[in-house]
Amino acid sequence: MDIRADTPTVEQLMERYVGGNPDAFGELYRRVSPNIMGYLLRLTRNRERAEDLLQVTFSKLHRARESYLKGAPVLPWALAIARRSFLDERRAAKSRTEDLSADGTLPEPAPVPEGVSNDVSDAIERALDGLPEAYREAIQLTKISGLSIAEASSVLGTSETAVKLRVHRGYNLLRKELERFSRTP
Amino acid sequence: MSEPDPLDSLPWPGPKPPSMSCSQKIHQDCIKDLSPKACTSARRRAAMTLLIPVFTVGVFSLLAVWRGVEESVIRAGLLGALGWSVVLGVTLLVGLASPPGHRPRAALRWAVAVAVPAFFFLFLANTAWSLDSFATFTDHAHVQHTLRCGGICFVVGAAMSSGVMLLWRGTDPLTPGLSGALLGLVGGMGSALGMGIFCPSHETWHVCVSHGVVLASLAVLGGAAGRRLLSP
Repeated sequence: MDIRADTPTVEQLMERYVGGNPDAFGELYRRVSPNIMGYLLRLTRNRERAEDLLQVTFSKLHRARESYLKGAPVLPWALAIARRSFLDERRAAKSRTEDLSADGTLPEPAPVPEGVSNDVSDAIERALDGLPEAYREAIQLTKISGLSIAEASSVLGTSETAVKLRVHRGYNLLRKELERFSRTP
Repeated sequence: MSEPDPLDSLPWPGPKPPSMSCSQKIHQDCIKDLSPKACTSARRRAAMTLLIPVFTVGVFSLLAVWRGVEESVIRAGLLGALGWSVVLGVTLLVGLASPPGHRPRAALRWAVAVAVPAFFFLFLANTAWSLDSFATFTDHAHVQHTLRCGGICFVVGAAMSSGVMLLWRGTDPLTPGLSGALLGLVGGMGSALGMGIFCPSHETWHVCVSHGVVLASLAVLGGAAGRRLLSP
């Protein structure tokens, strides 16, 4: 028996959630939140900020659930909301004056995690974090979140050609970085 | 055969689950007040959207009869409105009748959003009954009439666009500006077609400025408003 035949899609779960089913939300959250969190972590490079933005994203999704159109792919929909929340937060942060710490000094930048790991996956993780934002986002959406080029282009509000170009350029930078990693003894 | 993507062979980092405390907070927020809501389809909303300009044209036709506009003028206006309703229907079908993510490419929908007002403009210029010189058009009485007519057209179109915008509110996080421009077009078209029946002047300059320019400007304003209203 094919078990997958009984497994509802995220779109079906979203419809049940709109219909008022709390269990559907639990399952929907379990399936989409790691992807959205991964995307927000890639954008913010800060776990605390990413979790705050995840809460904002789900809060918007909850408020806008009535406007979810039947059959719309949920992941690009949620990722677009997450991206907008990130941009809004960044805009607001830019317009605020620099926050001082309790002793009146300027806050220190967040510490960069140290320690070299030989794991290739960790190296990719670090190399990705070092890429320019546009390339990082394009690679995250297409290679890690699993969106198609068309879906990624609609989340990013750009053309498919631009997404392909960003992925390609990001990959070239990533390759250089990984070559350096492989030469490190 | 296409070459394999070298990126696919890399061991990409896996998904990142949020912390337990963050998940609990989100669950609490999203499950409280979880009243059942209706989940409507994009096609149904598009059909409801088309009814609004059709209704407006009907109201303007009744006003034209009440005002004593010649029957032949009303008939010609209704015929034009019928043809443009078909165009509007196709525009809605292409631009909004499927959910975001399943809609045709943005380039095609932008082309529709630009081509429809452009062809409507050409239609107005070619079907007007007379052409005054620019000097006559810019004299005081003509300008006043054009402003009054354009003002009514704009107010009615803006009200209709706002109505359809509310119907689609929060539905499109992917291309809200583009969807907004198409909704602005619906409002502008309904009002321009209605005014085409009701307005006594069928002079080229007048119809192009007070009906055509209003349609184009409502599409542009719809694009700007859509970015705020259509995104959740």
